[in-house]
Amino acid sequence: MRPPEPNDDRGLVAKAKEGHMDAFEELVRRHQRSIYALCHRLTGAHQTADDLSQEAFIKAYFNLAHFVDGLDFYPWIRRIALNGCLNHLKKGKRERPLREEGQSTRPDVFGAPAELPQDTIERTEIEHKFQEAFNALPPDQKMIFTLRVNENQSYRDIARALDIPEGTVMSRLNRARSRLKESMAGFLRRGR
Amino acid sequence: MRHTRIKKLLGSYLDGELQGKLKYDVASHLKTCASCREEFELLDKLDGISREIPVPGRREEFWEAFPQRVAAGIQQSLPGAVAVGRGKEVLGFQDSFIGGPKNIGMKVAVFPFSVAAHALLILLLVILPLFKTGNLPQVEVYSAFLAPPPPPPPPPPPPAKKRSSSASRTRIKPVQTQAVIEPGKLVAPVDIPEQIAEEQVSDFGIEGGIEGGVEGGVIGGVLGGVVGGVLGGVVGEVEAPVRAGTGEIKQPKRIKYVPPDYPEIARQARVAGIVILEAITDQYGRVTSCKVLRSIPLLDQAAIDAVMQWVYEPMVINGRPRGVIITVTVTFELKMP
Repeated sequence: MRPPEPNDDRGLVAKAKEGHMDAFEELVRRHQRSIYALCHRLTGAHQTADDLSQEAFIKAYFNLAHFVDGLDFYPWIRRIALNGCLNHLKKGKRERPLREEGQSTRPDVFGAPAELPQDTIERTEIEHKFQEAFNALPPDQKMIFTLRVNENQSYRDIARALDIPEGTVMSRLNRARSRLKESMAGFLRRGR
Repeated sequence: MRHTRIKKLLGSYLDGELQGKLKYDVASHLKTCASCREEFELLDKLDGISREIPVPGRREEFWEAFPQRVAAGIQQSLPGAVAVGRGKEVLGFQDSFIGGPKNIGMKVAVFPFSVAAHALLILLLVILPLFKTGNLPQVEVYSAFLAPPPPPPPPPPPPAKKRSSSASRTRIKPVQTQAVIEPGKLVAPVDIPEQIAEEQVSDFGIEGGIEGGVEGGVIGGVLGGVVGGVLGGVVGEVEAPVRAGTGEIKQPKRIKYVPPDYPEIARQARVAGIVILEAITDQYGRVTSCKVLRSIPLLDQAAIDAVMQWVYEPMVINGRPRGVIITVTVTFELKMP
């Protein structure tokens, strides 16, 4: 889920800064899906993703004054959302996400007519296994992996976003990958 | 460059973060090293899976309501948000669980009554029962099946005889006059006696016998001698029993053993232990009497009954059988069911 074109964002941000609620709502509408997706990827639960993405936007609204004009809105809101997710993951060991995706874990047979059902089932199984392995990662590794792979951020961007050296990004990414690989190795080799 | 170092760089190579010589090194190593190539493909595949996993979609209504929910959240977070937030349509779940502001004025008015009502309730429940005490219910104890019924009370002592009556009775009592019967002279009875008294055999001796002699005794026998006794034997042949276990007298060997019956009442009361008795045997080794030295009330009788049936080897001292006093123990053990 790619963020929309940033050009229009600037005008909306400026309006929102002036106190136009409609402009801010439009900003939310533009980015809600990507922020929600990010939160869902990191927490693995609908309700938590919903709460965290809402909180991120609310926090953004109250901090609009600190937003530097001329920069893109999406990286900024993403960073706010990431911080929220990180806090949640750090304190939230006690609340395990419910397996709530009853629909999504079921193979989407009708959604993919080109594939044979057997392949679909296998793919779903692999995805499920990956999700499990990913959820078992420590919060910081989860975050860096998501930023790199799903958000397609460069090491430098990640380092800047999380305020850590690039070397740390690289080492944590390596650790995350090797852990994922360990848990997934059997599946991946079999799928070959 | 070493294989392990290259392996660590594979992720960065995959991410396109390597430049210059490093990038070239990894690329050329991948061409030659099969295991690194496999590793690289695995990493690529992992990234692919992560990218392919779709975020579970929400319904369109969810996305349409989302900005409004954010706006509602912002309104609630604003200072003095309660009044504003309530005016708006709230869609969040949590709003349905949070009640509106309570009517505090009403609470203040009702509070004293509430306190009074509680105090009254406490008074009724706690203090009143202290003054009004009822009778305790009588608890019936069901222990009759274990304990034997109490012995009947002793009969009242007979009333003291009136002196006058006893005096008159003695006076009335006829004096029995015994007819003087001369030995060896037959006398016909004059009247029929109402009751025939037992004949006192001792009165009739054998002609020419000695007074105090034994019936069937030998004329010229020794007074107090045993019939069939050995002539010249010691007078008073049955000697007092000796105590076993003292001096050279050993405990005689038991020939017949009868186990004690465990009394049912003792079994039910789970009474066990050792009863110590002092048994006395006759010359033949039979237990003639016994006495409890260490008592367990419920078990004593059973112990005595058992010991009275025991038989010991006759004790012979100086060629003569003697009775023995033995201390015996009877052990009562409860067998676990």
